[in-house]
Amino acid sequence: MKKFGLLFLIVCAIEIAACSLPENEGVSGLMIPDRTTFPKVADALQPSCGTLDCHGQPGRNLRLYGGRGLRLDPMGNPADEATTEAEYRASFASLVGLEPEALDVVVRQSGLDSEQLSLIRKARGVELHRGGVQMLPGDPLDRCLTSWLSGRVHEDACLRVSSAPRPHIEVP
Amino acid sequence: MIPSQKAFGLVVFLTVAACADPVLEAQIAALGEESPHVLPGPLHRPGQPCLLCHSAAGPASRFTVAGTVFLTPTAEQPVAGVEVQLFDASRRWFLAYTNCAGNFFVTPQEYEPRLPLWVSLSGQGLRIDMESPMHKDGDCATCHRGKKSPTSAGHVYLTADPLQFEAAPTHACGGVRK
Repeated sequence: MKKFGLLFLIVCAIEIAACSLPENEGVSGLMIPDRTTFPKVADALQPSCGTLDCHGQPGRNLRLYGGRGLRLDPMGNPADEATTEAEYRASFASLVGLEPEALDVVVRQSGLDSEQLSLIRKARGVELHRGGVQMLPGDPLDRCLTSWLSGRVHEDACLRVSSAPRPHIEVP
Repeated sequence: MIPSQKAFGLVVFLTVAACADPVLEAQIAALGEESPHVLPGPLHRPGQPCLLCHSAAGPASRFTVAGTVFLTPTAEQPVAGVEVQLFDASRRWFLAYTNCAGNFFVTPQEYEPRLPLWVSLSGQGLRIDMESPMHKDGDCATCHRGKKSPTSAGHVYLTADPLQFEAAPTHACGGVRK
């Protein structure tokens, strides 16, 4: 009986260990895009991807925080304050954590074949995306994102997206 | 009932049960009961996420766009007669109007927008444009639910200026302006 109890405990311990989360700290040597220029990219992603009805939701794997979307501060709201440094950091962590190995390959190749990333495929509508097509190859958002992956962010393209005026509604 | 009919009934029951969406059901249940003072209809549940029920997967007739307009960011007073201007990715537009509960709704027969959808409000000599478009569906309360919070932009409002409060006329639900 004692033997059986011991065996049961060992099995339980093994199962618990098998279910524990992998240690992210153990992953090293993978390349990621530049963190310092990410705020420009994040600002460009905010209007089309980071709204509260899309990736500005806590349940999304690509989770984007921002001044006009999901707020990190429990006292914050999407109407009043600008994006904070902590929010840029959290959005960056979410984005680079989506497909670390594929991202590593793309960054090592200076952004070549960025469609290896579901981030790009979904935004371009190449892969099924509930949010539809958000960018086409060569348009400002696409240039902003892919240039950042290449290591030389096209700041004008990013700014063009983040500062684009709202379309005017022409109602007769 | 013959055995084959029983089996068919069982298959139908299991199919229907398997298609139920427990997440949606929980979200609808979380909205609570109807107000005892308002019958289910155009005036009910102002400020709540209409498309939870009024969608293809929901138990009520489908709307493509719906929401509630309040007077100011903090006031609980709904505004009637507000023109809700909708403008979609195909540059097609539609006008909807709020009723006395502040509610407006658009049916698929009236307008089936291609998202993203831009929205402006106009009424009582005031106008306000929504900064960002709707990407996921036409439910205002997906983002504008209750008070401001990390996951809500606060309810939809016509003016940020509380001084306009007095200027806003009220409407009887029968359509008579007071």
